[in-house]
Amino acid sequence: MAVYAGQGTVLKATIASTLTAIAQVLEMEGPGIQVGTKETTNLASSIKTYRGQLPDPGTLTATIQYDPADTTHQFLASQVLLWPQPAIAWAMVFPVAAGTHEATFNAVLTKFAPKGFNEEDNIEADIELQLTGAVTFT
Amino acid sequence: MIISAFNAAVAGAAPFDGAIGPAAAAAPTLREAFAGWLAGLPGLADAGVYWEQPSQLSRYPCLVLRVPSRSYGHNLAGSDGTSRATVEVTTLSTRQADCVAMAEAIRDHQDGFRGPQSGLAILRLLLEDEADSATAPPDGSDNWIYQMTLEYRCDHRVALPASIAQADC
Repeated sequence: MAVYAGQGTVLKATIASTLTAIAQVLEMEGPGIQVGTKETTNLASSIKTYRGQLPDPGTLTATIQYDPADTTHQFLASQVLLWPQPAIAWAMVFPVAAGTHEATFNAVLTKFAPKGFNEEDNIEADIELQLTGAVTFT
Repeated sequence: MIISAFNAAVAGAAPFDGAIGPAAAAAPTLREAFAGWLAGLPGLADAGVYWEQPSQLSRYPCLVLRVPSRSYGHNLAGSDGTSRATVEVTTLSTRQADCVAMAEAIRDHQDGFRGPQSGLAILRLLLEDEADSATAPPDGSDNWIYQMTLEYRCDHRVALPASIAQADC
């Protein structure tokens, strides 16, 4: 067992049929997998009971240092405007010493929001993925 | 644009393109670039640039350049090739009017600047503070030394570290 820093984590998207690292990622959160519950308590119960519902793969959010000239960022900007937008394969590769460990999933890009146009900040963009289907952790 | 001998020496550096990325490998340091820039500004050609407080015996008017703080930008891949520095430029003279004139000449060329300068890609240069002070004359003289300090915030490119070998651990 070991503790790892988030530094070195890589987000990849399928660009031209190849999982390609998104450049200049500042931070990531997710996937936010959640499982809802349905109460099964009845009049005979002496304590509340629940059953699990379908897992929701949730969302993954990230912030990038947006470079309009970078091809991976250009992909994000065009992908979010596609209609209908197909879900594509993504991967979140963890910076783990013991071989390759990653989370792989299909997702739709639901947000691409440039920001930081002021005298203080760098130009950045928030992105958000809506995961669909299974998430595989290896 | 002001072209000084120093600028000419570093001509050919990569042009500013507005994106975060590596600076030219041979780019001068922030301090060198500022010193070269200041030396080439109109009205300041005869003012020496010091790296620390000059003495009463130094040649006036003059400038003092200091970088009291500087931070570097990072992302998940490591250095992002940018840095944010606080740069203090102090004008000193035995005449208060000279201090003001030099400070105004500097502000006129630097506040709000962005672009390549003396081989350094400056993303943003903002004058954030200005302060007056004076040094009392030594015993037996009446030679006050007046000074104005301009504090700039300078966002600029730096070369990506070339000797980093990253590995998961």
